[in-house]
Amino acid sequence: MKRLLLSILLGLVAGGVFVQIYDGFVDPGANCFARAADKTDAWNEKLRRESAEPCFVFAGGSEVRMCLDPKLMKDEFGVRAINAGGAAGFGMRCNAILGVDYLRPGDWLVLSCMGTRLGKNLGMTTGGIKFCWRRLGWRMFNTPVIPVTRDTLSHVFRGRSADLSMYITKKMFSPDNMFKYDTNTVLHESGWIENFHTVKDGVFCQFFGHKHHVDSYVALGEPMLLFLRQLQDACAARGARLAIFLPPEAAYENVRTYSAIIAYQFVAAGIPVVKEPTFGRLSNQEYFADLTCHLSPQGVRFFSRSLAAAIAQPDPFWTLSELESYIRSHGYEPSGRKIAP
Amino acid sequence: MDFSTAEFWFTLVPALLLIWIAQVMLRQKEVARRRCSKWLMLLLSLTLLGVASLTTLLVFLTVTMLAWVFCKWGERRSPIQKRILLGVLIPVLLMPLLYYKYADFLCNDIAGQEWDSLRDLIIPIGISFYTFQIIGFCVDTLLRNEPMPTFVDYMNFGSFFPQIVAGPIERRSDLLPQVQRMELPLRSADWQLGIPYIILGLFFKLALADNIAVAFWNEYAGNSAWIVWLNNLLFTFRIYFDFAGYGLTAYGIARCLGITLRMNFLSPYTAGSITEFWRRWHTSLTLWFRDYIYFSMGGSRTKRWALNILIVFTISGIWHGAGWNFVIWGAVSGVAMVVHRLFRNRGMKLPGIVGWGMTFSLMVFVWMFFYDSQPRMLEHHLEVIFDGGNYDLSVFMQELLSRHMQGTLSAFFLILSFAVVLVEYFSGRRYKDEPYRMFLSPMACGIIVFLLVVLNTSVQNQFIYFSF
Repeated sequence: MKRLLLSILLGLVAGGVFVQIYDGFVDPGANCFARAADKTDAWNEKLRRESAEPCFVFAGGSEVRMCLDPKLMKDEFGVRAINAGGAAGFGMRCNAILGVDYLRPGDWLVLSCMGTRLGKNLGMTTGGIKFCWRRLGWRMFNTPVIPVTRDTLSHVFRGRSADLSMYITKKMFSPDNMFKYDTNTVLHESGWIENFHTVKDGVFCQFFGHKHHVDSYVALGEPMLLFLRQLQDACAARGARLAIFLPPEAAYENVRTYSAIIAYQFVAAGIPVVKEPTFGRLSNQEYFADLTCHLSPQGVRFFSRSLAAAIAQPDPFWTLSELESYIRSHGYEPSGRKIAP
Repeated sequence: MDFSTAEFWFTLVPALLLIWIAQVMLRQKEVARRRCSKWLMLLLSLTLLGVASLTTLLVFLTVTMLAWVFCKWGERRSPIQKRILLGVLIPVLLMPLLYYKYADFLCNDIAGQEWDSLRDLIIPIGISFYTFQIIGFCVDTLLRNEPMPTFVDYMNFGSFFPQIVAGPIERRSDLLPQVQRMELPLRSADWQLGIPYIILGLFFKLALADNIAVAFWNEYAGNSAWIVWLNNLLFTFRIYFDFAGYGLTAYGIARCLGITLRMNFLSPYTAGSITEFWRRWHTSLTLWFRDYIYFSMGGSRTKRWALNILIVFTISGIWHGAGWNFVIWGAVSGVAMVVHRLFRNRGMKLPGIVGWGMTFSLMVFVWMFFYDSQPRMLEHHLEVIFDGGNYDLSVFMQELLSRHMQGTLSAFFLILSFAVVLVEYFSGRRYKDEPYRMFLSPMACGIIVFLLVVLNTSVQNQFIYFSF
C-alpha cells in the first residue's frame, strides 16, 4: 500500500511539475505573449520615469497587442499609452486583469470590447488563467475580477492536452514553426507586435458582409454588466477609471451603426466609450493582416492615430446625445429598432 | 453520480469517513456493526441517487419497492402462480423505462403523433441498468425459488452505488451474498486492490475518452470518406474508454468496500472474432440477454437459433437507445454474429491477425449507427463512405488542415489509444484473461497518474452511458 501511495504521489508531483514547466517555459504561444508583456513592462517603467502624468492602459486580446502602437500614439499625439493586450483565447477577465496590474492613480483602463463577440469568452480559459499565473502569481486574485475558487485554482495546475499534443506534433513535423506569431512579426519596444502575416485573396472577402448588422445586434447582458462593475471597482481601488474602446474589425461601414448602438449601451450603463469616429469598423482590406481583428502595419498606423486623436481631444468620450444623434441619422433608434420611413 | 467530478468524491469521502467512525465506535458489537454498515451503505447509495436528481431517486424507489412487494407476496405461491405473477410484474417494472426512454420514439416517431411534452422527458439516470438488474432478481427469486433476502439487503443489492448508474448489471447470485455479508471493514488490503482500478478508470475517462470527444468532428457534413472513417475510429475508442472507464472505476470503488463486481469489459478490441467481442464488451448485459432472453427462446438448441440471435441483438440495440439508428445497430451486430456462427459451425476460422482486423473494422463501421442519431446524418455518412469518389486524400488533408487542432488531437490520441489496447493484449496473454493487470502495478499507477494530470482536458463530458 505504501508503494502504491508513494507512486501515486510521485505521479501527481511529477505531473504538476511537468505542467508548470510547460506553461512557464515551453508553451510557444504563452512565451510569445510573455515576451511582449515583458516589453510592455519596460515601456511602462520608462513612461513612469519620464513623467507622473496618467497613462492609458489598453487591455484586451490580440486585437490590442497587434493593433496599437503606443510609441506612435505618444510621439504624434502625446498620449501615454500602454499596450497590455493578451490573447483573445485567454478570455476577457484574464485580459482585463493583465491590464489592471499596470494601473496607477489617475490612469485609465481602456478595455477592448469587440462588438461582434459581445458576451463570448467573457470568462477565463485555462490558458488565460495559466498566463495570468505566470505573469502575476497570486496578484491575479487581488480583485473580484478573477475569484479564488476551486475551479480557477485547478486551472492553474491542470494540464492542457490539446496544447501539449499540438506541441509534440509540431515539434516532430514542423519544429521551425511552433507558433504562428513567432515568425513574420516584429516585437517593438512598446510591446506592440507588428504583424506581417496576410490572408489569401478571396478568403478575406468572406469576412465582409458582416452578419452583425443592426437587425441582429445583441444587448448587453447581465454577465457583461456585472463583469464591468467588478472591473470598475478594481480600477477604483487603484485610483483609476474604466473606459471602453471598440477595437478594429473588418466590416462594411454600415456596421458602424450597430457598433454605435453597442457603444450607446455602454455609455448608458455608465461606462465611457472612447470617441473613435470609425467605431472600429474598417472596410479597407489593406488595413488587415491575417485575421479580421489583426491589423497590418498600415492599419495599425491608421487606427492608432484615430484612437490617439480621439483620446487627445478635450472630450474624448461619446455622450449619449452624440451617439443617439449618430444612430438616428442612420435610420435607427438607440434600442436597435429601425425608424419607420 | 459521475465519478469524474470532484463533487462525487467530495460527497463520497466524508460519507466513508462517517462509516469508518461508526465502525470504530461499534467495533466490539459485531451484529450492530454489520447492521449499521448496511443501513449506512443504503443511505449513502440513496443519497447519491437523490443528489443526481429527485426523479431518479423516486423512479428507482418505485421500481424496487414494486418488485419487493410482488416478490414477497409471490414467495410462497405455486410455480404456476409465480409464472403468472412474473408475467404481470415484468411489464409493470418496464413501464417507467418505456415511458421515460421510449415514449417519444414510439408515439412521435413511429405513431406519428406530435406530443412535444414527450420530447422534453429526461431519462432518470441508470434506469436501464437497475430495471434489468431488478427484473433479473425477480426471475431468479420466483422462477428459481431463491429465498427472499432481508429488506435492507435487497435494497443494497438494488442500489449499490458504484454500479447502479451504468452497470455492471449484477446477478443476485453474485452480488447479493456479498451484500448480505457486507461489513465495510475499510481495510487497506481492499484499498490496495481497488485504487489502481479507480486510477485506470479515471484515466480511461478523463485522459482518453474526454480528449477523443474534443477531437471528434461533431455533425460532419462534408464529403470526405476518410473523415467519416476517422470519426468512426475516434468514436470506437471514445465509447470504449468512456464506458470501460466507468466500469473500472466502479469496480475499484466496490473493491475498496470489500465487494467484487463483475468485470464489465475484458479488452474487447483485442477480440479475434465478433463472438469473442461480445463476450468481452459489456459482459453483464450480454450475459443478461443470453440467460433471460436467448436461452428462454431456446438458445442455440433450436433451428431458429439465427433468428434468436437477431432478435436478442435487436432488443439490445433498442435497450441502448430509442431511435432507428440503435435498432439498425443492433440488427447489424446480430447479422455479424449469425454470419460468424455459420462459419464457425463449418469449422472455418480466420488466422488471428486477420480475425482481429475484420472484427475491429466491423466494429469501427457499426459504431457509426450508434453515434449518428440523426437519420439524415447517418444517411449522408453512409452515402459518403460507399461512394468511391469520396476517398480523395488531398481533400482529406485539406479538411485536417482547416481544423488542425482536431487533426492533431486525433492523431495523438489514436496513437495513445492503440498503445493502450496493445498493452491490454500483452497483459491478457501474460496474465490469462486479465487484460488490465499490467496497468495495476504501483509503478504503472504512478505513470498513469502522471498522464492523467498532463493530459487533462478542460472540456469534460458526462459518461455516454448515462444517457441509457
